[in-house]
Amino acid sequence: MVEWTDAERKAIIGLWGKIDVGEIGPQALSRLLIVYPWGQRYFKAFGDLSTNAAIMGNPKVAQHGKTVMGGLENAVKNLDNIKQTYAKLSAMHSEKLHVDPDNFRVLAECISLCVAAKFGPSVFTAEVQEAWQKFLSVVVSALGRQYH
Amino acid sequence: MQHFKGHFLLLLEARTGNSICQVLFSQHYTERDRTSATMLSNKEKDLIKEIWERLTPVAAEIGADALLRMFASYPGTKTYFSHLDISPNSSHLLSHGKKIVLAIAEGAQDISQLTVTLAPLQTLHAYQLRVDPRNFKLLSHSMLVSLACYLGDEFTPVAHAAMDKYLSAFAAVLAEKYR
Repeated sequence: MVEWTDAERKAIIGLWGKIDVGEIGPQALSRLLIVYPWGQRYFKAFGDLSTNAAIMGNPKVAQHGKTVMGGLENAVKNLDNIKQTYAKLSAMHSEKLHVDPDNFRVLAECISLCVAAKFGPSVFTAEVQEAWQKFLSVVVSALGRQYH
Repeated sequence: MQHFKGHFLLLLEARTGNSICQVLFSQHYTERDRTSATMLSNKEKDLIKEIWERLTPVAAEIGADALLRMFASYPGTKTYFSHLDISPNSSHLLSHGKKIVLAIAEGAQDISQLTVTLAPLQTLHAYQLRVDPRNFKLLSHSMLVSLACYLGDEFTPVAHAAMDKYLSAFAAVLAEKYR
C-alpha cells in the first residue's frame, strides 16, 4: 500500500488540474518515439513515423498520447488503489499488446519533461517533481504488475 | 579533416604515411562521428555545444537546481553528500552544482574528445568517489528536467534527444575506469 503525505496528494492533484491532457499527452508520446526510436516497434499500424515532423504531425500518435494521458485521470482519482485500478490495463499490455514494461518508465520520464518544459521551475518545483514522479512510478509499477 | 579525430587516422598514418588515405577517411567520417557508444550527428553536437555555452554563466543555478531535484526524487543519492550542506541555496550546493555543469559544458566543447577531457574525472570517480554509476542516470534525468524548466519551448524533441544522448555518453565515459 503506497503512503502519500498530504503535501504529495496536494501536489499531484494540483499539478494534474493544470495539465491539458490533449496537449501534454501527444507531446510526451511524440518525444518517446523521437528520443527512443525503438519504441516505434509498437506502432507499426500508425502510418508515417519516418521523420520527427511525421511523428509530431501524426494524428494517430496524437490521439494515442491523449488516450494514455487521459488514463492517468483514473490513477489521480484512485491514489490509494492504483494497483487494482490498473490491473486490467496491465494484463492487456502484457497479453495482447506485448509491450516491454520498461517503456512505461520511459514514457513517464517523457511526461515529466513535457510538464517541466510547459510549467517551468516555479510550478514544477523539486518537491512537486518528487510527488509527481512518485505518482508516475506507482502507475508504472501497476502497469507492469500483471506481466507473467 | 578537423571533424575526424578517431584512432583510425593515426593507424593509417603509421602504416602508410599516405595523406590521400587520410583525406578519404576524413571525408567518410565527416558526417557522423562516433562518440562512445552513441551516435551524435554534427548538427546535434553543435546544438549541444551552443546550449551549454549559453548556460555557462548560470552554471551554479542550473547545477544546484539539478542536484536539489535529484536529492528530492531519489533520496539515496544524498548518501554521497553527507559531508556537505545540501540545503537549498547553500554555498556548498551552488559550488558543487557549478562544478558539475562546467564539466558537462567543457565536454560539450569537443564531444569527440570526451575520453580525453574526462580522464581526470574518470580517475576521481572510479578510485576516490566511487559513486555507483547507476546514479549517473538519476542525475542525468534531473539535469534534463532542469534544462526543460529553464529552456521551456526551446527544449524541443530534437534538443531533448541530443541532450539525452550526450548525457548518456558522458556518464558512460565517466564510468569507464570503474572496472
